[in-house]
Amino acid sequence: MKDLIKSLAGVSAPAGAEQEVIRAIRARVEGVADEVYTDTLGNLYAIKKPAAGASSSVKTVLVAAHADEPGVTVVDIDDEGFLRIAPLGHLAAADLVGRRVRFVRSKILGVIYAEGDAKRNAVDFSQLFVDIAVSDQEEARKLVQIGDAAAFAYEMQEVTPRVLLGHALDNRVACAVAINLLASANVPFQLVVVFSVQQQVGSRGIQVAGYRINPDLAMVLDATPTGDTPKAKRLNLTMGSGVAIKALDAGMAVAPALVQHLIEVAEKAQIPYQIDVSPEAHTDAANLQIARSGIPTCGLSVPTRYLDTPSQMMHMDDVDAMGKLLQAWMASERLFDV
Amino acid sequence: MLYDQALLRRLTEVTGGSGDEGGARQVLIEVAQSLADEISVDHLGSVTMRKNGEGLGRHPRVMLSAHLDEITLMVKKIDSGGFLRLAQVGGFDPRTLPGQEVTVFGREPLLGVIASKPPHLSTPEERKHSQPLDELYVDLGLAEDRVRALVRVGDRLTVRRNTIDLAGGRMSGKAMDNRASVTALVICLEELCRLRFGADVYAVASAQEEIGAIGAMTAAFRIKPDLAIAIDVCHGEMPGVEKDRVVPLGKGPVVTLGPRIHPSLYRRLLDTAKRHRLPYQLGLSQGATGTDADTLQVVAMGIPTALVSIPLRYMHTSVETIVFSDVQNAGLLLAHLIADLNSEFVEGLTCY
Repeated sequence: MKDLIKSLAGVSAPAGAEQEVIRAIRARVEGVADEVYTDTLGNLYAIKKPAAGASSSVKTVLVAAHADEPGVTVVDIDDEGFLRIAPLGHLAAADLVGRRVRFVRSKILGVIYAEGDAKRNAVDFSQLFVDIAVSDQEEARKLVQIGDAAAFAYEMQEVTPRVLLGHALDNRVACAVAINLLASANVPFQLVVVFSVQQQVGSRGIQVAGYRINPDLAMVLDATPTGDTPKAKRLNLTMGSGVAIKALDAGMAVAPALVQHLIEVAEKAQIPYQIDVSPEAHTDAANLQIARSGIPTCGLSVPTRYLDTPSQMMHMDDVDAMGKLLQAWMASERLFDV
Repeated sequence: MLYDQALLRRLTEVTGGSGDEGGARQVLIEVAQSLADEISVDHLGSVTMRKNGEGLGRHPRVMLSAHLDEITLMVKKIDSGGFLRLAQVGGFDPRTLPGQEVTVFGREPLLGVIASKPPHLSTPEERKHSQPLDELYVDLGLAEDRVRALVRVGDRLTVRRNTIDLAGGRMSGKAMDNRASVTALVICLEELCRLRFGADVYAVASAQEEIGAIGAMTAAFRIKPDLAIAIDVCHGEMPGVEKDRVVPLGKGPVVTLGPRIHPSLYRRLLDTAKRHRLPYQLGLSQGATGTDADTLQVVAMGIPTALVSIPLRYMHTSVETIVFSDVQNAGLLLAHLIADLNSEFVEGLTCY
C-alpha cells in the first residue's frame, strides 16, 4: 500500500493538468477493472461489472477520489525571466515561499519566492515569483509558456513507518484506496470508481461524472483537516484515531441515515472511526449529490495535518481504516436500504 | 379555510434542519394526505405533493417550491468538561445565540443553554463586540462522561421556541422561514380542491435550501416543469433599516422582478392578483434572490421561474415575525394563477 501511495503521491498534477497521474492510475486499474475509459474533462472511470448471473435491475455504486492537487499557473514572464503566478485551487500565498514546484508540460523545476519587501505573514500572489534559473525572458520562454501549470515537487517520505508526509497525499492516498478496492471487489452491483479531475477548482470533474453514471449510491474519498495541532481551529478530528465519516462540510450535510449506517458498519467490524464536521472543507461530495435528480452521497476522509501545504501528514492506521470501512460498507446487507 | 395559524404553529414548532427535515416532513405529509393525489419523498428529502389537472391531452406542469428546511446548528466538537462547540447548518445570526435555550438531538433530546459570559466578567472591549460562533458553547449541565454517552459530533441542535401570537394577526417564532411558505403551499392545494384547473401541479416542499437550494434543483430535474414558482420569505419593514430594502407586513405577498425571474410569469402573477382582488407588493432583485428560484431557473434546459415572497422581520433568528394574512394571500395567489393558466400562455414562455 505504501509503495502504491508513494508512486502516485510524487506526481505533480495540478487541477486542469492531471494527465500524468491519470495515466499512472490507468496503468494500475486496467488489469483489474472490466472497463476503463476517460471523458471530456479528463476523469478516469474504472468499472467493475457485477458477477455473472446478476439481475438486469442491478444497482450502481459510484466511488470517487479526486486525482488533482492545488497548483499554480503562469500569468506573466518578466524581463529577467522570473515567472509570475496565480493559484489553481486552495493555496495560501504565504505557504508557497521557498517551495519547489514542477511544471507539468516541460517537467522543469522551479522555486517560488517572494519579492524582497513582502511581509512574510501577509504575502499575496502578486508578490510571488518562480525562479527557473534562467538569465532572461527569452530563455524562460523556451521552457515555459503563459498558462503552464505547476504543482509541488516533493517525493513522499515517511516520518515514522506509520506516518506519511507528502505534497499530494490529499488525494492520492484515497486514489490508492480506490485502486485497491477495484483489485479486491467482488460485489453483486456495478461498481464505478471515478478518479475525478478539477476538484480543487470547484469539483468540476465529479459534476459531469455524476451526471454520466447517475448511480444509486455514491461514496467520496478525500482528506480532511484535523484539530489536533497547537492552537488549531476547533475541530473534532485527530490524526491516527480512525477514518473520518463525513457529517458536514462546506458544501453539504450528509443524510443522517447514511452517517448512522456507516457508524454501525464501523462499530460492527471494529474499525476505528471519527465523525467529521468540517465547515470549511470542500470535497466532491457536494457536487456529486446534486447530479440529475439527486444522488444519496456519503464521504470518508483521512484526517490530515497541514492540508494544502507540501507537508501533508497522514497516519497509515487511518488509511487502513478507510480501506476496511469502505469494503465493509460495500458488503453490508442494508447498503441500498438505508 | 381548514388550514390556518394552527398549522403554521405546528410546522414551526417541529424541527427540520437542512438535510434532516424529517420532523417537518412528517407533519406536512400527514396534513397533505387529503389534499394531494400523490405524495413522494426523494433522495435529498424533498416532499412532492402532486395534484392532477383535468382534461385530455398534455397538461402543463407547474412546480411550486417552498423550502422545508430551517436553519439549525450541529455539534462540531465535545470539549473537555462536556461543553459542545457548534457549527452552522444554514446560518443563525450568532449575535442572537448567547443566552438561548436549545434542544440537542442526541441519543435522546437534551435541554441545554448557550452560554454567555456575564458583563461583570467581560472587559470593556469584550462588551463592545458580539462573540462569533466559534467562541460560543452549549452547557447541558451534565458530567462530561454523560455528555459523551448521549451526544456525538454531528448531532443537530436547534433553538427551543414556541411560536407566539402577537397583536394584529402577527406570529413570531423560529422557522417561519420557511414554514410560512410551506403553509402557503398547503393553502394553495386546499384552494385548488375548490377550483377547476388543467395543469398538473407539483407542490414541492424542497429540502436543503439553506445549504445551497439543492432540493429544489434536483426535484425540478425529475419533474421537468413547464414553469416554476419559488415561495420564500423576504425582509419585512423594521426600524433602523432603509425603506427601499424592506416591505411592510400585512400588505400582501411580494412578487419579485429581476434577472432570475421570467418577465411574462411575473406579469401573469400581477394580473392574477389584480383579477382576483388579492393584495400584493412589488419586489426588485438585481441578481441572486437567495431562494430556490436561483437554482430552478437553470435546471436542465432552463425553467421559466418566478418568486412569491412573504414579508418577514428578523430573518435567521428565533423570533421571525410574519402576518398570517400574507401567508393566506400567497396561497390564494398561487391557486388562482394555476386555475387561470392555459396552454397558450405556457407555450408562449419560450417566446421573447
